[in-house]
Amino acid sequence: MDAVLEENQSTSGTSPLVAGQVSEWLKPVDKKEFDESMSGFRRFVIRKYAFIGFCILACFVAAGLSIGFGTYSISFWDTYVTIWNHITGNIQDVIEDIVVVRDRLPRVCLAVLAGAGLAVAGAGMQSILKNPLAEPYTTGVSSGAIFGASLSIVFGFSLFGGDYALIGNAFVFSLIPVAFILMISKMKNASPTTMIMGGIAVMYIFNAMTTVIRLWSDPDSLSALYAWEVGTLGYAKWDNLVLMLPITVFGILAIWALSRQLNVLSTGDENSRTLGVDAERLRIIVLVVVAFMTAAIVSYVGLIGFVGLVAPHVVRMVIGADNRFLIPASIAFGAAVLLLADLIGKTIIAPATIQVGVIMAFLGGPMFIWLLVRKNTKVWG
Amino acid sequence: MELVVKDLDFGFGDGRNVLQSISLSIDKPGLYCIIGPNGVGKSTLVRCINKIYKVPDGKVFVNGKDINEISIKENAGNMAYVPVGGDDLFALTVVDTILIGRHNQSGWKTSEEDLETVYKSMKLMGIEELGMKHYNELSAGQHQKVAIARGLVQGTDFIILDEPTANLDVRYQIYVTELLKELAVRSGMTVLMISHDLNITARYADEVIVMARPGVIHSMGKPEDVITEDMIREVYGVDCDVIDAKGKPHIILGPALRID
Repeated sequence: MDAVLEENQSTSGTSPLVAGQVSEWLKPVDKKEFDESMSGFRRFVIRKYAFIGFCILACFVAAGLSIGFGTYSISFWDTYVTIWNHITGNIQDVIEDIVVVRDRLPRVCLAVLAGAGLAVAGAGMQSILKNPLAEPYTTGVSSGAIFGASLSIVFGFSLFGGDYALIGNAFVFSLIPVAFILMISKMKNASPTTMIMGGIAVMYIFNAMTTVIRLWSDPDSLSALYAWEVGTLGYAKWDNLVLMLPITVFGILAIWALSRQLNVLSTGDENSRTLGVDAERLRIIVLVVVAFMTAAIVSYVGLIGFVGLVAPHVVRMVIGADNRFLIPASIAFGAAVLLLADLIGKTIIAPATIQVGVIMAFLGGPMFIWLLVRKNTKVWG
Repeated sequence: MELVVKDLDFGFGDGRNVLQSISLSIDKPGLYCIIGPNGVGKSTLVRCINKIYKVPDGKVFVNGKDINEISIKENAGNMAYVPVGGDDLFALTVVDTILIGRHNQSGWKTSEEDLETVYKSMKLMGIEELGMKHYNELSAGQHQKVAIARGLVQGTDFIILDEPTANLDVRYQIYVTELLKELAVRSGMTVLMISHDLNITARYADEVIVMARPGVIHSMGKPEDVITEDMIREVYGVDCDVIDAKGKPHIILGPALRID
């Protein structure tokens, strides 16, 4: 006690209160007080893991039901047994194996990749552009993709042949708007606002060009284009996943790896710099990664809205904005939601299928509005 | 920590120099306060020192090394920065927000040591009750306290604060200034802060740096030598009486003399 008092008095002109506080600051922490004070934080961390676990579980349930559903009906349990048997090379029922692994599994994998990829891309875009309305398509990828797809469907013009005519075209053209945004932001510093404005401007230009193309198109092409535009999982085939799988997986992992830096970025560009993070460089890296990932996804499934914009918001509402958890949770939640939407789309007016993009909007819109109204805490500024 | 600024001119490329031949050197721990009227380049100066703005080679040196030869990552280990206000968009909890200050020390996973430091910083700033609140739910004064805590957990022996007492009530204005002073004495920190409160500056600063139009250093030295009636009239354009309060100057402000 005397030692503390002496220590407190020995300093120059400051009050005993401050001297005592600084002594506390310089000492090791009082474990008991610390544990009590941090119990809320620790519960919050557990909640984050629980949410991710729940979403992964939901993925498996939705995927199992989705694979089992169809003219050739398979029970939930059997679908996983069949997949397991296929992996271990111990195929029991050849027909079931073909139906599950060759015909239906690709669609589920495509849904998982697209849902996870778009949700992560959205989370990344919202973080780097500091805008809750940012989404993967803010990069202009969508307008470029539609233009590329239109060229292929309407004029039969494509940079690639065969199966890749539409997909390859959409992919290449969807990267053009991104190149424009990068050029614009290089010329006039990469501020988030410049990037969004650039993206919107380029989007209008490409949309206008697409409209012009459509003037020449026949009804068949129009309906083909329409189907692709609303978002569909109908192109799912193992061969097709070859290009999309590595790009999407790499993109997701890259953004996840950057999540600590994305956290720093949320404190502002200038402040990030003093914490050792170059905001401008981070922004360009994430933008390019998101662009490639979105381009790959859009080329296969068309424009599936909602996932990229809203999935990250829903996740933030539940587990907060720490990107280290937000990104993996978005992966799991995005995949689960898209699987669920596809399952509903396939079953609700079976044997006909409602396209996944439509269900997504019907499912997601009201759910999001409910969350907005229900939560009174402010999740974004 | 040793900081040297040598004859620094700095502008934003419109032909006008915001800072004009600024020279200063800080070579021992203490509380250094930059004062001066609005728009004389106080914030610009600190942003030149902490690499937010890029200065020409051979102008700013930290521990004898040209600041341009130090990476921003390395620099983050040299000095912390507490900006005025904050612009967090997506709400992190207060604990998570302060944890960001540990970006350089901590690994992928938040360690116990990180959390302990964060907890202590919250106690120091009197905000340990706010740990699980969302940053966006806080008041401006609470934002300021979180920002200071975030600067302190960075663990550097040099900290730069841009108006740390803006938005704080009078108790916390004094408390925070005393705290920074005490940290300077007890843990050998160099604290460089921009301040608008002349009386608090006069009472606690070890050294005062007075900036004036057009972006120059007017004077630099101990408060009792620098804070005078003449200086305040000349730099701020405000009439005043400076009286002695236990060896430190105390300013009683009069009417404004001019607008410029």
